[in-house]
Amino acid sequence: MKDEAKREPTRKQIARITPDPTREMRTLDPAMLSFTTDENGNLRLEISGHCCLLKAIPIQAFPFQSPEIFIEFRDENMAGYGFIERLSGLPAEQQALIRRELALRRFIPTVKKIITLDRMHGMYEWDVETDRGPASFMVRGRRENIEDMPTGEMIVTDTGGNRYRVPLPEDLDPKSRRQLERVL
Amino acid sequence: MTEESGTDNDPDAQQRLEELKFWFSDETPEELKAALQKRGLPSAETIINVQTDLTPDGAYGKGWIVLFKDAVVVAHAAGADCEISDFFRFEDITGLEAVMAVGGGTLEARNGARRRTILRFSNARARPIGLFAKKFRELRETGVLKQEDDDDAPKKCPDCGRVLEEDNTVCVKCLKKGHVVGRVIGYAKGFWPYMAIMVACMILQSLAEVLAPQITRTLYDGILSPTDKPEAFTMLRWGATLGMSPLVTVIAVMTALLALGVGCAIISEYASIYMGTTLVDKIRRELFDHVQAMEISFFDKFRTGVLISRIDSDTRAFERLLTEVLKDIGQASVMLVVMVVIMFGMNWKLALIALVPAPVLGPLSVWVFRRMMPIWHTLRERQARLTAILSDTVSGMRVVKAFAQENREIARFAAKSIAVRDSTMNVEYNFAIIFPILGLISQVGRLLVYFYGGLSVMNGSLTPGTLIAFIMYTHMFYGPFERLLRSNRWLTRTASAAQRIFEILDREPETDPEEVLARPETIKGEVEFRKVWFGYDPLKPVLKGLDLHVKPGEMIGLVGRSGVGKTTVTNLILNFYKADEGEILIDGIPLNKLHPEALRSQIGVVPQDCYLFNGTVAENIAYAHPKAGREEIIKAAIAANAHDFIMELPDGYDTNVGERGGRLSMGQRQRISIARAILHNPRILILDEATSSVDTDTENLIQEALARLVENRTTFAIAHRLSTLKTSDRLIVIKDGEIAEIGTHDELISMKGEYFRLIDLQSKMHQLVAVGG
Repeated sequence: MKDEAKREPTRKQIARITPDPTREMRTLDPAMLSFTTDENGNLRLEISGHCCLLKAIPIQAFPFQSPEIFIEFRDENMAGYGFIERLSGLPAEQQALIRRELALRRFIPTVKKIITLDRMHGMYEWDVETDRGPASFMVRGRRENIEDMPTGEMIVTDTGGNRYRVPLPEDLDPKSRRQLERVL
Repeated sequence: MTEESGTDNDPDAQQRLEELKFWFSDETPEELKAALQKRGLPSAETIINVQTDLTPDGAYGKGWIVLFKDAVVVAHAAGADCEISDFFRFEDITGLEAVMAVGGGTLEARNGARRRTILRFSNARARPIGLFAKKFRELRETGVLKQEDDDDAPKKCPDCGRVLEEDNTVCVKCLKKGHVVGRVIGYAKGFWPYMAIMVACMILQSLAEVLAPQITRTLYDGILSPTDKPEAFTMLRWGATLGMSPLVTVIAVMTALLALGVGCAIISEYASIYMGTTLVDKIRRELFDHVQAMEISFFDKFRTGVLISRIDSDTRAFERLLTEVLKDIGQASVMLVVMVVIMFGMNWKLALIALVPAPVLGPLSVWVFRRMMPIWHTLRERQARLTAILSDTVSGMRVVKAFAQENREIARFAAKSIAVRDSTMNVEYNFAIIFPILGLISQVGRLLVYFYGGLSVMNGSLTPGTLIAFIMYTHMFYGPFERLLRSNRWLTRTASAAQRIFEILDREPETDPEEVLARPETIKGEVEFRKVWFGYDPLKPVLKGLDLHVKPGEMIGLVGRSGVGKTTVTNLILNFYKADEGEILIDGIPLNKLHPEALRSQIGVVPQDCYLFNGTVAENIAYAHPKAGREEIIKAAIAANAHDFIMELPDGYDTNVGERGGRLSMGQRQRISIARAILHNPRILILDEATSSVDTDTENLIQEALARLVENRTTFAIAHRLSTLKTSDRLIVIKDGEIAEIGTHDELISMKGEYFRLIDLQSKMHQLVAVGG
């Protein structure tokens, strides 16, 4: 990893050559990074001594399985600048900036509590509390719209195309768990 | 024939000769013996004699081709005699080849470029004559003959010789039901307590049901009828000792029997459900494990649909055999036997009368059933055809509309739909008549019982209670009777399903667990083909004596027209198929001494139609190494030029690719399979048309990724666009099963041979495309 940091291309190179011609994974040293939010609400990333991204887009490589590991930063043209290995390696306030940006980029509410869940005429009717507030939605069909993740969690797609993350039954309160197990 | 004296005296040689006499060899008829004798050929030394059914003019007529240990003789019938039309010593010819035409073919003897047609045959004799040509080659080159199974011949029942239905390898006629049932019960061994409970409860339940009419009899004769005394009935006496009035006793016993019946039914049902589901799970997993251990050729023989139905529905039939069919047979038999005993015990004359319809009803039901089967079958066939036409038309809707052929499709569909209607009516009408008539016949017994029983009651020789019990028995009798008659069909059906399962379980797995095979940790990647002959159908060799030595790290481009055997070469390296003759060595170890798992863990394949499993991108990349770290996965994807598009998928590496990777484009799937190969880090790499189905931009990305991948690995690359193979160390042009040319791109171009011709053709095509496009 240290090697790669040394071989970090100059600002010009980064700006000119994307995707990375070395075809190697580039990991960014947290010490070189500084994040700020500008007055327009854009996340700004300065890689010290190299370049400055006015609108940096953080993308999680594994948004479900390990959302805070391997986050890549891209510019508005989707050209990649490198990864941070883990979010926890950054100072707390910088972490918060990135988390906020990630949350804004990915709208996939996580279900916290299931109030009712019913099956009617092949549709699943959900009434839930999520980390983004209360939601009621309809889901059509088990097979197509309820995906099982390798972790055992479920990703549910409603009729409007919104996706919801349903945690493992054991991570829900008993009442929600009963609702879930009764129907699915 | 030159050293024939040796074989006569040497018993070993004689033995060998006997062993060589092949299963497909025909009897040598007298006229052929005579003709051979005339030429001084001892017919006793015939190794293989195959009969043909056509004359050299193509008319029906007998002919023979005979293999001796150093010569081949062709003879044709001439009237009652036989004339030898060709005689070759092994050194006279370079090969024999069966060449197929339409409806038949010819056997050609070759000597270099010269060919001579020595025999004609119709399709019916094509297999043995093809095998003859193969065995000739084997004998000439190795001096010995291998015994082999003819897997591709139409499947026949080994016992009765009947040709079997497609996809069904179990002969229903010869099915040893007893044997299969025994084996199925063997599976239930671990469940014997459940089995015992089930059987015991079943018997108790049957008894409870059968005894119910006895209580009714007691009620009538012991309580309601003024003429009889309650003391005559044991049950009522016992009741009295307990201080119960006769009526209460009867009700108590009745309640007890009912409770016993229901209780036993529940318990035996529970036991059978537990046993059945546990067992079906066990056998289903066993079957799946076994299928995983099979070699690829097994999957050629059993089509996907067939295998799925065996694992899925046949296992359920297996369960049904154990829990429903056998239970039903047991229960019905117990009930029938007990009922007959009781009826005869009560009044043998009335019992005989009650059973009068049975001898009629038995054969009649069987007859009706035989009659209904074909009608029923026709309906199913017609329904299947209706479905077929439906799916055909709906999926071809664009073509139908484009050519304005809607009316024609409507007419086509209407015809099939009417056929289904007629067939359904036929079935239903038949059922509508048959069942009431069968019911009526079984009622005849009851009518007779009414009549004769009524007379007996009136003249006092029978109590009314007994008559009522009898009437109840005749009512109860025909249910289990019918079930028993019908159970034979169920038994046959489920037993064949079980037999089909056993058939797969009995197949030998790819590797014999007993055999010690080399499991090298790593290999260098040296590959050697030594005179390899191979054909998917052994009679139609694809590779004819391929000789090739590939150094570790070398990149080989395989070139040739489609069907020439390029993919076959790679399939052989993967040990998916075994060479018919010759051997393949990896690092000097013959493939059959190398553990297939150890071998394949060192080989990476990027196939044309790359298969992704339903799961996340990360899971698919790490398919060969489920424990790979996240960083490794990302690095592999970057090297495969896949990272950029993966990060733009909604969930990055956690994106679900859908069934068969359906949510990704062909080029994306291709790059994921390259990343999979990169992460696998194999010593030998097989690229089979990796860029054939993508656009030019994507092809460049893939080519770039492949270039990184092939470094330092032994690579076999197949590509239609020859330009992509330019970087190969050596190009191998395969033609007619043999290596036609070998060398680098430049060398082959300067040779102006086959490769040059192919390149020239392709560049012309590109020009055309450029002009046209």
